[in-house]
Amino acid sequence: MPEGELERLYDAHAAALFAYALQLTRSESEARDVLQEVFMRLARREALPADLRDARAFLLRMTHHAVVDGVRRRESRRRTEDSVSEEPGSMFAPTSDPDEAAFRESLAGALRELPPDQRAVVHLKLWEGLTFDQIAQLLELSPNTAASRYRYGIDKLRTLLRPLYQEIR
Amino acid sequence: MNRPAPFDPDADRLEQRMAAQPWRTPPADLKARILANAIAPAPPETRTASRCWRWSDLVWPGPWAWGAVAAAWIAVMAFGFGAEQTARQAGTLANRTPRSPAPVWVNWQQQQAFLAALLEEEPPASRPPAVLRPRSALPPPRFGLYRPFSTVTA
Repeated sequence: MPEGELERLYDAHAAALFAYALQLTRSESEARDVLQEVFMRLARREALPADLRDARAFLLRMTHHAVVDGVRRRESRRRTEDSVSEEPGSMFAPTSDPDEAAFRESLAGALRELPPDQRAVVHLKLWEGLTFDQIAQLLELSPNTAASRYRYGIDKLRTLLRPLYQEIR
Repeated sequence: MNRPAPFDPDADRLEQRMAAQPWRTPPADLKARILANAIAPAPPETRTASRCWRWSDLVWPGPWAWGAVAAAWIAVMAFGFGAEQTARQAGTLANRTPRSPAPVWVNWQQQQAFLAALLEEEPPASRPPAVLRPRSALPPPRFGLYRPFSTVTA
């Protein structure tokens, strides 16, 4: 793939891919590695598939596979829990508003409590605005499974964020 | 930074508020590094390393178990090869030494005679050949209680 095309794809999608990788890995260094792996794979391709309707969904799928490959590689190297690689620090952009900062901190903590499969669906629905059909296609699930994982995830977030939720309701 | 989430009337306020939170953006220096690495050709050792990683991925999640199986196979093959070589060498030696059954038989008879002389006995006579006799010529049973079945039931 030509360098100009790679740069265009980076400018358009890197932030979303990085956020998704950060959501799944909960580690900035691993999210960097995932982003690099995705663009290395893209560079090896001649071009994006001609019949591609949504480049973002395609790249999110590549990111998901890169995360899974990274987890498998890590597991084969060392048998450690996912939490060991977790780095402290918020996953969200910093803000000067203390209320917003507190909410983001609580939200990041609540997201960490979700299982990875629910976290992936919640992220794709909330922050990427994908439909359940698109999420199902991306994660190779049935739409019903995607919807139920989202519902379970949201219910758990609501429970964990109940004090804040009551405040803002 | 991301695409704005489409308005969903079913989403409650918490979901809307969560969706409005912006994620951290990738560090500024990452773009140049990623693009430079993506464009640069992979060095040979990197290709080898990635190939090794693919192998390790293939045998995941039990690389030690697969390694043990491979080692066992290699040991069995080495043992089989060694046994075959030994048999081949033995066959070669046997082919080299001419077979001479007559001197062996003569030696054996001489040894038997020597042993008999030592023990002051006659040398063992050769066993007479077995003679096939008809069944009627066989000796009767040693116990004398045999009676025909007809006499028992009568």
